[in-house]
Amino acid sequence: MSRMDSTRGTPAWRRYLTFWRTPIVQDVDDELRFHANMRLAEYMTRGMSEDEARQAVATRLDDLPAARAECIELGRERERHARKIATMDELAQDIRFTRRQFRRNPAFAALAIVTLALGIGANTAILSVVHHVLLDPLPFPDGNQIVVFGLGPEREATPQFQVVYDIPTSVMRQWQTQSATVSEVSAVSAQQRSDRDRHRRRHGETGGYQ
Amino acid sequence: MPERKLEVLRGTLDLLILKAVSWGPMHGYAVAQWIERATDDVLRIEEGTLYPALHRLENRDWIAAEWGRSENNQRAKFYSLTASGRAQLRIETKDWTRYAAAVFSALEAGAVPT
Repeated sequence: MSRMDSTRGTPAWRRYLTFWRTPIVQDVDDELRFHANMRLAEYMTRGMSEDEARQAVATRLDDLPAARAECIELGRERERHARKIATMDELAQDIRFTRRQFRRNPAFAALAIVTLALGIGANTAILSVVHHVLLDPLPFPDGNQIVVFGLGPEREATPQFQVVYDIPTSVMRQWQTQSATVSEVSAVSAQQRSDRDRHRRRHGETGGYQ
Repeated sequence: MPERKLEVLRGTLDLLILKAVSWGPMHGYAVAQWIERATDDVLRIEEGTLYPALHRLENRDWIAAEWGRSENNQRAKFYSLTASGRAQLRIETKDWTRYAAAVFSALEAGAVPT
């Protein structure tokens, strides 16, 4: 049995420091080499010659490579854990430091808080407007199933508005009664038309909502 | 002819390691020696299971490791029992005693009377 020179009372942070400085693989190798040396000495005190003892140690320790790999993996796991704890410690320290700074300089703290509040408030205001104007769904049930369609050459169709030409009332009626693709068809009267077909302006039914 | 040595079961090995280092900081070789001697050489400690077990116990914070100098002045890794390790040793000792007693009484019991 062996005892170590007592080195108690190491502060917690020192442990993390030594963690990063000690290469895991080398530590494991050192530890296992020490063990092999001790076995060797043990066998020699039992009366073996050095060669015999070496041979005996090699036989005895033939399953060591697997153990070595396992120890290295366990060491890495330990290091990851320690690193995580150290990161948390740092974060806590930062928070404490900030709080202290704020208490020492309340004017600066107030300025920082007001700046943040204004920034967040302005963002919220703008986003809520954008949300209502651009992102809100159409005020109909199943608004995402509404489609706009119309008559006209395919090349003039745009993703947003495909209605280009007037649709005769008779065609509208036919769509309304016979369409199997959409459940309902309705039309709006177009008061404003693009310049292109202004010369043909008249009242007409030009499109439909489902 | 000497009796054949018994392999140590893994759960038992953890318990024996905790017991060994409860006497003070020890390196792995000393742990193996202590267990073999304390069990009158009935148990054989395989290095291939001893060292992973030591590292696993270290990861669980039941033992703490520190590098130091051995009695023959070599650099060696010493393990010592932590506070949570001591608590664990108490629990496992109790469990193991109950377990062994249960198995033993089953082996000694006769047929169930009908």
